[in-house]
Amino acid sequence: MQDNGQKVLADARAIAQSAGVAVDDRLVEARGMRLGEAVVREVDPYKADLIVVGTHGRRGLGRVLLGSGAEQVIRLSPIPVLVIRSPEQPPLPA
Amino acid sequence: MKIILPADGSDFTKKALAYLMTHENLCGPNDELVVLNVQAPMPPRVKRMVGSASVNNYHEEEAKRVLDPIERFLKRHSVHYTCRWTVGVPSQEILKAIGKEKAHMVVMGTHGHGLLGTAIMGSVAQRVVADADVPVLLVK
Repeated sequence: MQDNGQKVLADARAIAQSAGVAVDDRLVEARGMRLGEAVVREVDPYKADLIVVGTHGRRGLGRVLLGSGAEQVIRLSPIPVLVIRSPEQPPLPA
Repeated sequence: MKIILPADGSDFTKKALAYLMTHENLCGPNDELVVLNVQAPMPPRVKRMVGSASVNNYHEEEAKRVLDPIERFLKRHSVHYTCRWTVGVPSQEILKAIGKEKAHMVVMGTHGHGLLGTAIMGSVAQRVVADADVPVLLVK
């Protein structure tokens, strides 16, 4: 899981650097904590102005549901959240 | 950058505007803001009763009530903007406007007037985030 997280961060770092954006990254292990809480907890230490989060968009027929992670972040965040929908929609599980 | 700002005149509209005006990289001299007021349609029964001219007048007045203060505010800032209004389902009209205006982003509140205290996010914001092809900035 750690390796996977490091890989995600390395990819993100590379993208940011190639765009000429200063980047810092952090891998947080948040067992027993909801994703939204773990993200929002970082707002103060980083003095963040904005959270950027991806979402799956609409999942399930006729259901309006964001990725539950994004939804938690949006609900708990004290600062504005920029939500970006993933262009490829994963197929629905049968 | 071209930004759509859905406006229903609620506190969230003010917050979204304040956010934009304090972030020059979003709303600088080369950017464009489209303020969009969407109103729910009158039931056909009402339209038949009072006539479509009165209904149209009503919508126009409502739009003015929301858009005029915004326009006054925007005039004091050096930003290109257009204000327009339409009648329909808010989320659908916002999504349509994204395509029509070739907008790059939507800035809106998590709730508008249709506030339900316990809801995580208003249904309009939820539908827009779920279906928009462009990033949506949710102002808190």
